[in-house]
Amino acid sequence: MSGTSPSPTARSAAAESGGRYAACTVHAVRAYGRGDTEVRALDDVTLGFPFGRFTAVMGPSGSGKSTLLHCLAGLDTLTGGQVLLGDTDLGTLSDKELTRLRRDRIGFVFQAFNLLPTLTAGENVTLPASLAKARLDPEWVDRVIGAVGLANRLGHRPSELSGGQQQRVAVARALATRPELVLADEPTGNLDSRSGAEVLGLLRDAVDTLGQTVVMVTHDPVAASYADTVVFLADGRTADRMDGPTPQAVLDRMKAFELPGKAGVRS
Amino acid sequence: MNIPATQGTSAHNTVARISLPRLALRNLLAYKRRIAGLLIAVILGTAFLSGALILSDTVQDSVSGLIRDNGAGTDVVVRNATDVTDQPGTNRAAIPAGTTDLVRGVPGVANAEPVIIGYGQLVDKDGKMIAGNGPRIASNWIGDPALNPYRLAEGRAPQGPEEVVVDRASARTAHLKPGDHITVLTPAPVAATIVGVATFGDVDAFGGSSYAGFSLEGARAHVARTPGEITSVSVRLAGDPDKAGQRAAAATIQKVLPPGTQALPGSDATQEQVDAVADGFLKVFRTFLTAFAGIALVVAAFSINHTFSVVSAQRTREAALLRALGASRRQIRTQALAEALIIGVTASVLGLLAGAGLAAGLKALFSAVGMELPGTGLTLRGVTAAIVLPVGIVVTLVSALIPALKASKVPPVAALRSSAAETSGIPARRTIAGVALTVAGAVLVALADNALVLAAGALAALAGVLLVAPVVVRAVGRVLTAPFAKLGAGPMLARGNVLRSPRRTAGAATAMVVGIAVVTVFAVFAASLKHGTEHETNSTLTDGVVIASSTGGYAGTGHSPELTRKTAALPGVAEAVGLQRGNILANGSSVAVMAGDTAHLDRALDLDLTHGTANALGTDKIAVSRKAADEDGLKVGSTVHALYPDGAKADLTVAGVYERNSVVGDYLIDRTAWAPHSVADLDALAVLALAPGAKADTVKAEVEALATAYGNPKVYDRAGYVDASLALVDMFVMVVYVLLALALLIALGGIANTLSLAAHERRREIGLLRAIGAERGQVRASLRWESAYVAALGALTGVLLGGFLAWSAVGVLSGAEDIPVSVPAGQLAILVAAGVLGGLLAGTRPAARAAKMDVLSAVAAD
Ligand SMILES: Nc1ncnc2c1ncn2[C@@H]1O[C@H](COP(=O)(O)OP(=O)(O)O)[C@@H](O)[C@H]1O
Ligand SMILES: [Mg+2]
Repeated sequence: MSGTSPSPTARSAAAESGGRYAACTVHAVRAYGRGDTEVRALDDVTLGFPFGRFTAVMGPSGSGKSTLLHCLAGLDTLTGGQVLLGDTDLGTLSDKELTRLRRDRIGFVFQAFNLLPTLTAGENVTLPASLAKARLDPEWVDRVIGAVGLANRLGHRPSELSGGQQQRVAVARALATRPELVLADEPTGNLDSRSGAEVLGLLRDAVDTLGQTVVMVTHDPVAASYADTVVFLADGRTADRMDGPTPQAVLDRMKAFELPGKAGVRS
Repeated sequence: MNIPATQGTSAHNTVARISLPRLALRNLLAYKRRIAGLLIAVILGTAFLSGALILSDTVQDSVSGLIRDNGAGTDVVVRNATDVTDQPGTNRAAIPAGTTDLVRGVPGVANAEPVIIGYGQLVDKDGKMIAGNGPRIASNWIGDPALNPYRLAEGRAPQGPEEVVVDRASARTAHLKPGDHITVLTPAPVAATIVGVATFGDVDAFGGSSYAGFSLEGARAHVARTPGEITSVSVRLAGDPDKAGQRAAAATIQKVLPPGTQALPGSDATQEQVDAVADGFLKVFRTFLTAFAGIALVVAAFSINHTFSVVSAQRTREAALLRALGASRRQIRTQALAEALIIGVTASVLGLLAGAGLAAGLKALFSAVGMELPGTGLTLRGVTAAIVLPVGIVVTLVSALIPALKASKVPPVAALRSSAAETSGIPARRTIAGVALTVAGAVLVALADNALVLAAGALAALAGVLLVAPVVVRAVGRVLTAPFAKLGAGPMLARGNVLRSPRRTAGAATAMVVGIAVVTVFAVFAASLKHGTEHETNSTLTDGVVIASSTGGYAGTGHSPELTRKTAALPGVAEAVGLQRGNILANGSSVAVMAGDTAHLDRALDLDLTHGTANALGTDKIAVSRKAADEDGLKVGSTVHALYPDGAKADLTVAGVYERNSVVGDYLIDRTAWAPHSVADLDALAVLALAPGAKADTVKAEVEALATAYGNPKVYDRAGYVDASLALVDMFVMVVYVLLALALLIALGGIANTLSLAAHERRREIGLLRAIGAERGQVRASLRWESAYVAALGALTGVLLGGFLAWSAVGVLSGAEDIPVSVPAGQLAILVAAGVLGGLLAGTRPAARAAKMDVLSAVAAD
């Protein structure tokens, strides 16, 4: 049940990814700038995200978490290595194909500003399908909406919803197309703990009852504890991983990053 | 005046402080989109005003220049003292030929040449008239170069009576060269040989006129009405005197002249002509252009105002932040106005310059629709700048004032709330005021019986409609756009954006509403006028044949009365009424008259007489239209004191009053009354009534055959003549449409402008859309739909409003003529379609830009 594979086994992980991983990165590098000013937001990251699992990504600010998520979502492109979604190598896709991939195979939840203010909650949920001119599976949508507890809020506009409700709508939207991979970048970062718990419970449910694969970036050890596995990033590299995390264990691991010399940079 | 730097509240006093003007400047630089948007809005508005002024100055300069060249070497002009019209292009009546010798005898006169000017239509080798938009001049070629504005470019001066020099413009048009044989209709056909080609000074021709220069002998024989008469005498004085010298010489010459003749200093004669052109054609031209510049400016002002309010919404938060940091309301306001001032000045200067380009474009455009304007180069007068710059700056400042006041009222806490920039609240006050104004305006318009009430009502209704517009958008926008939302994600998203802030949507459409309303008023007006004239002309003419050299364009053309007489003799023609145009003073005021064969006028023309008769007017009677009768207080039996161009006076009795004036004008006299006094013996028109059993087609063919000997004036059946007589109206309508289209372009530019500002403001949303899988095409489509919605909304509102105003305006302004309103449904449909299509196009660029936006940076933007 290894959630992540550090470098030594990367090759085999990649080879087997077709079977076990919803998505994976292989020696992924994302560099910004050139020469002296080059920043490696991702520096040789090889990770697999198994089907039907909830993975949390943690790490200090600037460690490359968002970049990782953007690359997985096809929002950003690598400067080296590969990102695979199922069998698809994202690096080989055109802009148009990446757009379709985001629409049809990925669900994304941002930290804030997830909804179009002019559309109702219901319209926001079905927006990716509207964009695809595709039919949604009504049963599935009902299930999703039931799960996020928004059945009686569908006609409301985002401005009429609380922050927690807005994020739940965003989660519903991410799940509505039944994507292969749901990505969430600090989805609870702007929420109070109760609303945050609701959203996290929802993501957990999506994995347990709907069988979704979820990758979530978070700063919060409690949030991370909802996941099956936690991956730690530091300076654009995978520093560590932890299966079956508890808030305390995560917190302890996080503290280690702050102590010089103990930062879990891969040796 | 200094406020703390907004970034970082450092305790160190050495940190740079920023002054308000610098903050304004930095703001402008920081928001390139905003500044570009505002600049464009102002430039569009001022460019049109500047273009209109530059164009009319250019035309005026070149016309005056031509006239001055024309008269440059003439020190004194001797001419008929009677003046019945100051219309340019008309000549005074003749004076005795012997006058020349009298003048030559005056001491100080170096040379005096008789001038004979008359009608001379050139007919090319194939028998076709060489048409043009100006007088067809025949004259005598004057050997003294100081007295002759024409210069030989080719060949030699005419010697024999059948030799002519023609202007180079005509020569080029008809490929004429010395040695060619042509016909000159004076109006009797004269077979002549071209011996020379001349330029008017340095240019090919004097405006749109044509020129045929005979020898003096030839002009006496063919151009003068009687060989013993000349038009004027041009005098060159010895020693090139100044104005005072000219004046003194004129006074001396005056003493030897017979009564009814006057000697005028050359500079005064020239000035008189310049003034006549400036007061006549140029004044109309200038007023016309300025009116459209005004419309364009109003449209632009709405556009500028809206752009500022969009921008102000965008910076509400910024203002709030400044307020939170301790900036006073006044400082916020000052900053906003300083920004507006910088924009106003910059854009007005740019607009002034852009106007020069526009003027050149307009000139090309006028010539493309057949209205050739004289002049090369462009005249940019100081006064143009003195008008355009303040107007542009003031309009910008006023437009910026309200948003600036609003921005200064932002409570500091707004900085802390991350409220959406676009608010959707509509104050009830606004709606109530709007409804009240609309109703009041509508009532005024509906009941109006004069132009003033009408204008007041129209303004109130317009203001009212603009005030209620947001509520209407909110109320009906949802329903009207609903069907499109099903078409796809683009229209659906656009719908949401249009409805999210009804106030902004209405604001964006305002310029369009105003523009389309004006076009609609004009279209309905033109259609009604055209329809009315068409109907009237149709009823006036019997089902006969009409000869008309010129149905529109320059009025001073015609055919020989001899042709009219010959057609009268055709078996198929029962009655031939020739009609000449002229000017007289009627009870002291200059009026245009028609002089015709009135013996049996009613056989050929149905003037719908309300009183008396228009038949057999003889030498002492006149018939007038009801319009003229109303204006001059005339009725059957009244006396009209007439002064003919040659100075003769006559008392004419009103014999009849008629309704239909579209063919014969407002004053009708008999040919016999006019003939002794006329300037040129030329039938502008001949109306032929058919004999019983005769067919119009057959008669038309017979008349055409006769006409070949008279330079082929055009021959029409009734329907053909009606169409042709409306051609001028059509051309005028075209020009107006083109000018109004420019106003619509400004409105569309405004829509494009605010759309791109809105897209910029919503980049976060657009990034989100793209992140969750919207294709670039879908983002593009949504913005294009948005601009089409706005344009459609504006166009429909404008058509409704304009239609209502026009309905009332036609009734009020047509006054006694009682023109029925006719709605050009097809044209209006095209107008709305053009508006919507324009909206789509206007959205193209901002949409393309928004679609190109980098998803990641948009998503990451805060
Ligand atoms: N567009 C960019 N240009 C330059 N550097 C960037 C850009 N985006 C991210 N970075 C850099 O990459 C690193 C990782 O950023 P990010 O993935 O946002 O970190 P995290 O989400 O873990 O806080 C940071 O050092 C950041 O400054
Ligand atoms: Mg981040």
